[in-house]
Amino acid sequence: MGFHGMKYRIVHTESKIETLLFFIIAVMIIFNLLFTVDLNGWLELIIGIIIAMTILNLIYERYAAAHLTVEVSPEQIRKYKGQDGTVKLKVIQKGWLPILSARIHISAGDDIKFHNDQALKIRNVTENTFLFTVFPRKSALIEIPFEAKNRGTSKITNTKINIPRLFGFGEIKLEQIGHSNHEILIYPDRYALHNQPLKAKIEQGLYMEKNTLFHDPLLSSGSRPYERTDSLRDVHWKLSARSGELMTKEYEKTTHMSWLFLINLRSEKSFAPPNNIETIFEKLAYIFGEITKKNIPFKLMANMRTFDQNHFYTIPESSGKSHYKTTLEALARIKTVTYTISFDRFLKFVQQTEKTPTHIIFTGQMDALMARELRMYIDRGTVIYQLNEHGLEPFKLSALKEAER
Amino acid sequence: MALTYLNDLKKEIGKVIVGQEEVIDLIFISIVQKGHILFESVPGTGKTVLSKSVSKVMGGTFSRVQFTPDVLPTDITGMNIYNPKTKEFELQLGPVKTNILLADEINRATPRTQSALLEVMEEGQVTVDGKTYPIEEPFIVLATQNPIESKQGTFDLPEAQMDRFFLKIDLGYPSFENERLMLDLHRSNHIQESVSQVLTLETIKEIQNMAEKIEINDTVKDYIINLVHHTRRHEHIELGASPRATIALMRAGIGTALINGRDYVTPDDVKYIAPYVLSHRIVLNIEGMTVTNNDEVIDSILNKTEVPVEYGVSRDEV
Repeated sequence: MGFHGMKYRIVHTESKIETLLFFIIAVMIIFNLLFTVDLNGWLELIIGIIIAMTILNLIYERYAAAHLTVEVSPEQIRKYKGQDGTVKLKVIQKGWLPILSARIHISAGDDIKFHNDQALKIRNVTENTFLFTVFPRKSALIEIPFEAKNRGTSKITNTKINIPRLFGFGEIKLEQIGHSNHEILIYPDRYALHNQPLKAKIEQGLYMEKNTLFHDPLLSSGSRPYERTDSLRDVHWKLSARSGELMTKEYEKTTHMSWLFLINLRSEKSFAPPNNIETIFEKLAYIFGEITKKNIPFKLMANMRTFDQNHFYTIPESSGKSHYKTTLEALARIKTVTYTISFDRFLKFVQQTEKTPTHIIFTGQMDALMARELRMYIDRGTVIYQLNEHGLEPFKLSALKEAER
Repeated sequence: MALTYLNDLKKEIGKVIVGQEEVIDLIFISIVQKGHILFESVPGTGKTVLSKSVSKVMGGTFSRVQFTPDVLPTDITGMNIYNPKTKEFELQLGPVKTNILLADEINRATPRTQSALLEVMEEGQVTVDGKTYPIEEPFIVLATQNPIESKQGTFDLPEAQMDRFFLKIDLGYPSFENERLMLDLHRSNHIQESVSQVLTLETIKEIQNMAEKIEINDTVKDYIINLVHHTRRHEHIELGASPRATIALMRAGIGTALINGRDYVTPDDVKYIAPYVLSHRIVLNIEGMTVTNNDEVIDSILNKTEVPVEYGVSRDEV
């Protein structure tokens, strides 16, 4: 796995050495004329040195940056909001000219904040400058510490390099072409203290409800006398023959659970995202962590349109730690200001396309239209919870009727 | 002598796999130390071709099991089969009765079947119907798995099984130049046939004897133990490396010294080989899983653990 390379172009090569050359020569000539001092030998020497430096400077200017590359370390950078991290840049000089005391100025998206940030607050970037020296055919590693400031994704958007001229004055200035593809993902803060009641709720057995209508044919729990509505497939023929009356096998309810998380990115009265959406994301991140520990499979959908086959932002159902990571990454990538549809239409879509889950956890406010869609799920035996800034609230029919009124 | 064989090995395997000299070094270390290898990488990177080539250059007997979800434990270990002629049950040992076993796509089998390999991998013996049968040495399992398909009809290897793999090698993609070389090599349809045997069971035993004579001093042993202990108390690790991993790290360090032509182990040998020995033997906790990965955690442990250095006279004087 290689580093993510960035390309550069020379933007400014101003050199003051020519000006200096003419200035010194002019001073020498004036001295020679005014004081008739025999400075010709000195003049020749100085002019020779200056011409040599000019040539060396031109060579340096042309080749010093020609084989210079800067790469971002390919390590995945994933942090929770509030954590500190480090971005690594590798400066490689493949050419034969050394680069001494150069400066690299780095700008990145403001979901992260570089330590000793130099950017103005009004600009939505974080910036910092670092000194580096790199010798011929060698590389230098620059470590850039940062703090994860907001949920989201950040990239290094721009870098500028100023290389001091070894044989002259001024600098060679390089500017990055395009941007780096390397992403820094910031997960929502899942350590927020207000999440503690949620944990208690999950620990108290929220996840244990076996509300499914189906039973597990592999888990027989006993038998009872046959009743008219029982399936013939469930008749315990051996026991019936022994006892002389029809007996039915009883099974444990299936323990398969799937939680469907439905995120509402639109507030009920406007197209704008809800004010508390970041808090909701934090609570979601926390719940995902807790149910991952219980190994409950879950799926995430948001009413955000996408151009793929899912039509809406979807993380397919799965369980385990890697699924948890995928879901956190998904939360980090959600942009709240985007193309969304109303939540009741989204619920209708979910009903038509998704299998019935054992639990639904939805976010956002309730209205009559949404209530009508959710009633269908309650009728099918799905347990519904609403996630708001206070935590998880069981969603009951009575509340639903009230909403419908 | 070991280096001569290693170069021959590189030459022969290089006929089919390009740019994997480091991987061949690791395979050689594994062969010398009687360790099993897990090749893990995305499809099409040459895991199976490499495994087949290794078996060909090593000589000895070779078996291959294509793991699928319906492979049963007895398909691996063997079973007693009734012979109507003799009216007796006869033992039919499975593919484990070999010197090199290629367990292809091992994570496609159920954990029950995967576990059938536990005994033979660790103890070199197999138990069928309560009777234990030894397997001829050397017995080396070369297993392949594809990490991408971990959720599609595959089963993660249990920790106990992972612990039995001496090294885990990620083949990765070849570089641009190597991929071009590969195109030239693979114009022929019969390149696998061009690989010839380099080692014999006797030469392997000779090299193994040489490895046993390599010195490892207490300071390096302490370094190994420190590394393993760090894995047990790292903030992102749920399950650290086992004492079996400590032994494997020492043996792998000895193997590294051998391929470097030295008769003593340096901390650098241990540091070089540690990621291959330890990264598959740790289980990250839930936070670790979301912010980092096994390789990065092992790297951080290697960076944080103090490396023993030989102090000069000035230190003694102090």
